[in-house]
Amino acid sequence: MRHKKFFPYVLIAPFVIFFAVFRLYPIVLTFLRSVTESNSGVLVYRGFSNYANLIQDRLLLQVLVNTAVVFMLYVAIKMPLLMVISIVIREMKKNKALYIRTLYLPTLVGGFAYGIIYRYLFTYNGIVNHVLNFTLGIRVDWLGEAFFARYVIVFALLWGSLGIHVLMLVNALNNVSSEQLEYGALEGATFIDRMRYIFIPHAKPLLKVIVFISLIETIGMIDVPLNLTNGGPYQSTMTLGLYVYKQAFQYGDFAYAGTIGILVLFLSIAFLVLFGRKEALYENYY
Amino acid sequence: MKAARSFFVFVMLAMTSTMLISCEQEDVVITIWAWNRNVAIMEDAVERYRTDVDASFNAVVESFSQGDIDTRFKSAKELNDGSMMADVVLADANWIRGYADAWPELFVDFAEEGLSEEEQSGFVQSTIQIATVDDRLVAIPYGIAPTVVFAYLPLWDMEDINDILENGWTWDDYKTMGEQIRSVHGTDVHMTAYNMRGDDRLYRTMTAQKGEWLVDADLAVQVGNAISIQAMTHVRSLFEDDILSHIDTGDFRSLMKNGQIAAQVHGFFVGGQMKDVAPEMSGDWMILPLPRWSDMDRSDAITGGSYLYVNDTASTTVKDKSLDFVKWFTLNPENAIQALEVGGIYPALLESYETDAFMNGQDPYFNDQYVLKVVSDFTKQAPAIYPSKNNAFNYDAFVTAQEKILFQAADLTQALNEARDAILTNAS
Repeated sequence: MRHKKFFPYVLIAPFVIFFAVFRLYPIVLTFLRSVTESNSGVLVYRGFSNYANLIQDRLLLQVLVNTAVVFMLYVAIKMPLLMVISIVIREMKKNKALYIRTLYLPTLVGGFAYGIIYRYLFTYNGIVNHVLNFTLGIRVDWLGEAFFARYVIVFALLWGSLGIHVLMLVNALNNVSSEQLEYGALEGATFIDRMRYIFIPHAKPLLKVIVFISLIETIGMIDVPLNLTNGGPYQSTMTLGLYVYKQAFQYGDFAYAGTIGILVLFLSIAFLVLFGRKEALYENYY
Repeated sequence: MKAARSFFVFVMLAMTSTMLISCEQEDVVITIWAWNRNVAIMEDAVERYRTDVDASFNAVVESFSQGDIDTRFKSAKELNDGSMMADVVLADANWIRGYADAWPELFVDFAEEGLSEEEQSGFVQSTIQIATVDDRLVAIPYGIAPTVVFAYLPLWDMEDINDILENGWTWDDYKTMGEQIRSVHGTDVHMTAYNMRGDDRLYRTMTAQKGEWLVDADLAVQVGNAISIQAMTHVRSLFEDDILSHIDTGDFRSLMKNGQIAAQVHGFFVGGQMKDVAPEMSGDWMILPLPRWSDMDRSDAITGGSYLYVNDTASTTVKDKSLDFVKWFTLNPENAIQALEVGGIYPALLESYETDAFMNGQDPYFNDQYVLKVVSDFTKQAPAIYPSKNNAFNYDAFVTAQEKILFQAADLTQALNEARDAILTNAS
């Protein structure tokens, strides 16, 4: 009897231990670091001055705006593209797996690697400009103009993440009943109609999760902007993850990096709460 | 029986102690971190040290990028754990002072470890100035990056080359020459490639000629002062007249290999890299002195260098062996010449400039020019330029100002002043 009482705790113990060691402990340590300074490795309490610095940090505001812009571009391009590709693959009679695997392949290449690949593609004397110059006689400063640089980062992100989300979405769309589609066809539903009235409502919960994953991805990304633009031009591609990385590993200010890390944590929690509430409204409405 | 047992125990103890002692001796492995061509130089040096000096010397040379070493340094410093660093580490001239300033306990003071003043005076003096932090010599220089102009002869009139070699030239001449060359050879050709998105060697060289860069020896910010404005004004003028080829990756070697660059301003080590990537261009290049400012007589500039420091937190045995190796490597002119031949690193040791290789060595790659002699003539007196402890931040602040000036037509003085303010705010 006693054995049974403790058994559920044994089952959840691996998760709790993993979470405590690899999630909770770093968060606590990050917070402690943000209110201390390192004196020859010994942490000395120095109050909340780093949090006061957050308010005065003009670049941080730009970093937040940059992150929001990249996220919105990313989602605005990714979601329609994801839906279309997933539906097209779902409708395919053969070679579905081949297409999914092909799209999935870039996921296996790390962000660091494809950051470098994209850099050499889009640099001013890169392959893309050579093609443009040869065909149209123009060169675009892809990484030198804030407008283009953000798009290049978004395309690099898409290239690296589309595959896994297509895989998830195709599986979700496979559950759409054929009767529903046949009924739609009898009613004369076009591709747009099917997407609007059948596929999107069916995949809506998963699409929301993908949006949220994309948000986390955008906030945390380091390797892609680091290798593509190093935050430039004019710090227009300096996103939150990259800013934290630079503060810690390039500028050597781990305390301030930790402070921004705590800010990111609270922002993520805020988004999660907001997201959860909308999800709840959605569930109640239907 | 008792005697036999005692004898057996004695033998076992003796064997165990011998094994432990020998294991301890064999286990002393020195770790050396270096990057690029310095890895081959270090591997070669270790082999020769084992052959010529200490057969028991055991070292592993590990290849990391400069950025990786920088990240490791910052992580190790955060944890105050010197064991995370190698026993001997290569450091760039632009970072060494910042490192020593941030974490002095990591660095052996070579002056205290027996490197005499006479030995110190055997190096190009600016290198010793850079490596001296708070009266401690924290590293020994072994290579420098004298900045020169790599002229691609097929784009030049030899009369102009000879005139420059004889009489020198100014930055205004450099611009005029660029316009002339482009008018003859077309718009695909530029004088030099310039990394608009990075801390390019051209601006650094222009300020280094006047003994300044981002900060001075006292860490006072130089960005936005008169020299900085003068240099950036000239860069902008070259940019606006399309004299500079716009690069944003630092890959100027491709353009040089394509024959699109007439007069690349860069460190001497680029000559070694060009021999690797474009051996077919042998004889097509010559080295010219840097253009000078019209208000100056000399044009010398050193814009980088390779230093070795020894980890002071290592065990005494390791530290002693590391010190012996580093001193042997850096104080020996033969090693300096070997490093030059293996990796194209220009020596910091003045004695090497008196060797036959320097005095009489003609280089077929550079049109049989007495390259080493020519460069040594304008190396000895080059002023030191000082990096700061916040180098990474200062780079970013400067590059942002540069981007605004070149691409957004921002007011030059205002943009540089903003960079200066950002550097000052960060430093405080």
